[in-house]
Amino acid sequence: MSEMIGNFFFLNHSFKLAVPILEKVIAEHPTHPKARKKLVIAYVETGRLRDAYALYSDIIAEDPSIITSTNPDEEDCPCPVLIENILESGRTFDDPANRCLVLAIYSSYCCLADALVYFTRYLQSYPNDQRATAVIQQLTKAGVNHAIPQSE
Amino acid sequence: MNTSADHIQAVLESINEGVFTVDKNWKITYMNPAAREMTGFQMNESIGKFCQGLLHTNRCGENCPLLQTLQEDRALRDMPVTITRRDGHTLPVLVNTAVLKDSDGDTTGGVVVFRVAGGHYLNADEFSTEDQFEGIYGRDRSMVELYEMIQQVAPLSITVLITGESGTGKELVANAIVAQSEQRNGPFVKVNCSVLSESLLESELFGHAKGAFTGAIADHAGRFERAHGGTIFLDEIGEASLNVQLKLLRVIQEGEYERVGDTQTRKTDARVLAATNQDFKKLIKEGRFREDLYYRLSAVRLELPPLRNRGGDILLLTQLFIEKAKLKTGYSEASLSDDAYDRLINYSWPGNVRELENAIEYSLIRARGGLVTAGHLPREIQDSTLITKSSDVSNLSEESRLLKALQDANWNRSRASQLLGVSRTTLWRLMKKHQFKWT
Repeated sequence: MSEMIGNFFFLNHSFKLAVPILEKVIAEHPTHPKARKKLVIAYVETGRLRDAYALYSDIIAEDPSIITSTNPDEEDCPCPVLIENILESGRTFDDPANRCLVLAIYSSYCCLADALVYFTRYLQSYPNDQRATAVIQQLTKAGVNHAIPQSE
Repeated sequence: MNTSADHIQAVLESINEGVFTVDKNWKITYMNPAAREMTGFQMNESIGKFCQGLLHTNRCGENCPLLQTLQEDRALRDMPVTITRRDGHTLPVLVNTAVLKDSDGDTTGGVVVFRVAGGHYLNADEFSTEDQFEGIYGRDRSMVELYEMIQQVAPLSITVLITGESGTGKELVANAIVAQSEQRNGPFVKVNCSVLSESLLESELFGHAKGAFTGAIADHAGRFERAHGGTIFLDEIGEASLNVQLKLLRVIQEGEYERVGDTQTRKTDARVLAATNQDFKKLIKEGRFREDLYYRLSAVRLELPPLRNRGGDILLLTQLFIEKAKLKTGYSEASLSDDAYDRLINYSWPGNVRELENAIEYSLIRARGGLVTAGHLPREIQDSTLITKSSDVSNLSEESRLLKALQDANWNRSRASQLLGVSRTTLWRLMKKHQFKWT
């Protein structure tokens, strides 16, 4: 029952309400792919970027396709809208590198090429970030080449 | 047709209630023909779509009835919702919801069942929002005053008594009060006090303990228990026995009651709305209704005017019911002649709005979707000039009108209630009153 309620709040972009419910689903089903990839986005949107990044990295390490096979239309994925909000509304971040990190995470749901570019930029600010290095390796292994993002 | 799934499919395809299901991702997985007709969406436009992306209602978002069902893990009954059809028209409906689970008890989705509330389709091109209030149609001064009263009393969480003749729309007023109240997201439980025997009514209202009487094989929660946190609507409350009235007085005053056969006192905060078409003062004089309960109920009283006193509303409602009957019958080109309108306006409408609605639908069918003339109207309306000349006749002839309708309908209760323009409940009450019995 929790999963359906979590899905409801996620679809309605009520991320604050979605977080505890998705966390409960994952506590009961630790490998639940759909709940985990939604929770990544919900964490980011509720200001818990570190938690989001940790969960995202774990998912990518296990199976990048959980994220990269997302069909934004079929799943009503909010990432395209959230990316647009960052790029066009000038949403600010305390650390500019976090802007790249959020764009990288969101882009990996819908455009891997963009995701790799943003992760590479993030890595330039934090060259010792082992997670970013591992994510880039995993995404690259998933068969994607670097490309210049269309959006910038 | 040899599997249970086939049987269920056949039932869903044949019923008048709209039914749709969603999976746990809130995508529509099924929509029956009635739901497609009421919403205007075809199967290929709806299946696989997110329900919020397709079916727009005044409760989408965090007030979603199905979400509430999931959160509280209980089915909702008759929640008033306004949906926007594919063509942009709005349609007030009453919604029931339930969770779908697989054999392991895991949630697989939800089901929404809905039916038209009050039977009114609002065509935005022809009717303004001033014509209606929470699904009640009418712009007569008496109705506008009623809407104002509803808005005043709805937020107050106090008991309200709704009075009016049969067919004036007392249940619609109850729906409107709930929709405007703080309890609008809580359960809304309705009980018709006239259709249950005294012992059954008591058990239904307050519940019973296992073994309380023959057949009480398990503990049973009553309607007051189910209405906790919301509203209970006691229709035809004048029919409740003195014993039940005493228990109602206590639950209204103290919020306390016991299940039948149980000693444990339970509490409820359910708001009580009650309705009657009876003259309480007469009932009190005859010793059939408790005076203290009457005063407790009637602290706030909303009286619905009979249709004959609502002037131009007959025309407005006629137009609405024509639109509804067109959708229901498929006779999209149907219209009413001037002489038919004249008859409708001159008639005294003892069965009020319900009688008008039935008369319009009956006439459209008789006219086979063409121009409805006076000759297509029910006989009593065709003869309306004679009826309205003597206002006493309708009272004196109630029994004979009832007998004639039953005879004309070959004692079929549904048909007889249609002929009289009253509900089956009212027909049952009239038969009881005049001591008609089935043989």
